[in-house]
Amino acid sequence: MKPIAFAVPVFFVLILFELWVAHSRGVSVYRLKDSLTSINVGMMSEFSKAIGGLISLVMYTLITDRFGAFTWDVSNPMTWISALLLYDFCYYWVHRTGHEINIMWASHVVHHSSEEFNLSTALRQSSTGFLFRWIFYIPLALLGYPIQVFVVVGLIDFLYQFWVHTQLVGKLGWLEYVVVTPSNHRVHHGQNDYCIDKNYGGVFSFWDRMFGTYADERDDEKPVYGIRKPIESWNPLWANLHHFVQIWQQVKLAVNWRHRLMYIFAKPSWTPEKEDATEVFKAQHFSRFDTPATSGLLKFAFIGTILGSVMLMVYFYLQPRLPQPVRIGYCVVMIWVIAGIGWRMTQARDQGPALSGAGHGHA
Amino acid sequence: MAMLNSLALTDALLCLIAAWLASKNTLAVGYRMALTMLAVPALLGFLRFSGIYPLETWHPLFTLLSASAALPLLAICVLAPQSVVATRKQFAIIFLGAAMLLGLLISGLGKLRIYDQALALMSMLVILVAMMKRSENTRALGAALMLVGSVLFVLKISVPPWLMPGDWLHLGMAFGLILVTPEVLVMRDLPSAQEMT
Repeated sequence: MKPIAFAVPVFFVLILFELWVAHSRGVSVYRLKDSLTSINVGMMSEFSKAIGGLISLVMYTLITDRFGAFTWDVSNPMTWISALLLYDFCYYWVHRTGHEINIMWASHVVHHSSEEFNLSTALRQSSTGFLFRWIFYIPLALLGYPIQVFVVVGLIDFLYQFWVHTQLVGKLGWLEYVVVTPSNHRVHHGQNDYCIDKNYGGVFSFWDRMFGTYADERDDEKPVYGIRKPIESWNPLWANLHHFVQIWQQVKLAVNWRHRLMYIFAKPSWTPEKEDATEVFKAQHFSRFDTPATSGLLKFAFIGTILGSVMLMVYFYLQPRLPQPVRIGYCVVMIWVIAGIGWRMTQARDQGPALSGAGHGHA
Repeated sequence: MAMLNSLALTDALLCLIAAWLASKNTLAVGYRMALTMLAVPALLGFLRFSGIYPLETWHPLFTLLSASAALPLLAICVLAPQSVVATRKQFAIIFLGAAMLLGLLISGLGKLRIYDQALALMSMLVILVAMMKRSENTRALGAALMLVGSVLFVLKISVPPWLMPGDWLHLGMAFGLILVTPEVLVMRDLPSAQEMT
């Protein structure tokens, strides 16, 4: 079984634990529709890896075998420490380009599309990231780090980032200088002016300090989570693709090749009229996306998401024994089902005003 | 034990010249990045051929990456000094990254060496033709030197016998770069939004 399969139940237990802590403190950090969408996006990301997720490992192995310069002793702790540091350095740049190059932002934006910030937000991972991300880890392959070292440090980096998606942990003193913490990661997910393009680190925060992208969380201005151009949808498929569609439309309408290239490779805030068209953020004008929902619809979405999670675990269990076409077929059907749940929740928007209690209801 | 042979010496010369030119802050950022990228395989070649630190797989790899990415970037910077690739770091990095990736996939992993060799030769040819059209004779001579050095290397010609084919490539590139590189290539300011529209 894939290591992530063992992590999924732990994620759910920790989400329930966060819910309980929030409840006992009398604070609301979850909304049911938002959290279901986060979980559905996470599942879609795992299912999409059946289609292209092997790219990363195949390319890594090919490059290491052909061009790897050094031999590393896997029993030496320094091998693992140096690999983790280098992996996280590469992650910093994956992440930074994910925010500062439009086509990469199209892939990463789904992770920021939640207007809440809790452990379920961590599950909101991109379904298209596997197309780009491996490129940034080529330096590890060139240095010859064995594939098992690459996979393990990648998993450590990924799993570490789960716990920093919470509002229930405050600032952590000197740790803020060394590692990514809930406080400095809240800044990363904020859409306030001081939060934009800040705190890209995965495990270590000193990369941000080195490259001038670090910002501390402000007590006088709490981050408002989400993105400046909200997707206004609970559909995980649309959350993954909407920005690609937008780029495609912009490129089609562009008047010359320079503009076409700029729409693809410049910063997401680029427009032909202005190099950086980011507007000043006004928190008082922000309202969170919501749709009306009957209790029947919420039950449907909730049970559908639980069943989807079970099907994901079944997939993890069966995956090594399934032939590739069956694997792909299974995942395509599941992606379709998950998208259907989100689509149904969003469709309710067009069927009437928000029901009382459902407008900003919290799970 | 380190030893100095002609390949190590000419690689060291190319590395020093490329690095020296790359340090000139009157040049466009894309041009400087292309020069830096050219200095890297030269440094690796010096380490390899001198026996100081022979990274056997890296020298040919970075050579093909330079051929696929640095020389085309150099050509773009010479032909279109106002382009975003020449004047802005972000776009120069994106260009280098994408071109190196293609080089790695096609020439490195796909073993289609003609890809990077053809790209390198075409880039030098383009610079040569552009300089001749502009009647910039010194720079045209530089491009011709680079081209001749590369052709001698591809054809594996070693005349005189104490010079290896690789030496011709290194010497042609080194002296060619000096002549091709102008004092000031382009203003390094960001283009305004009006210019970009």
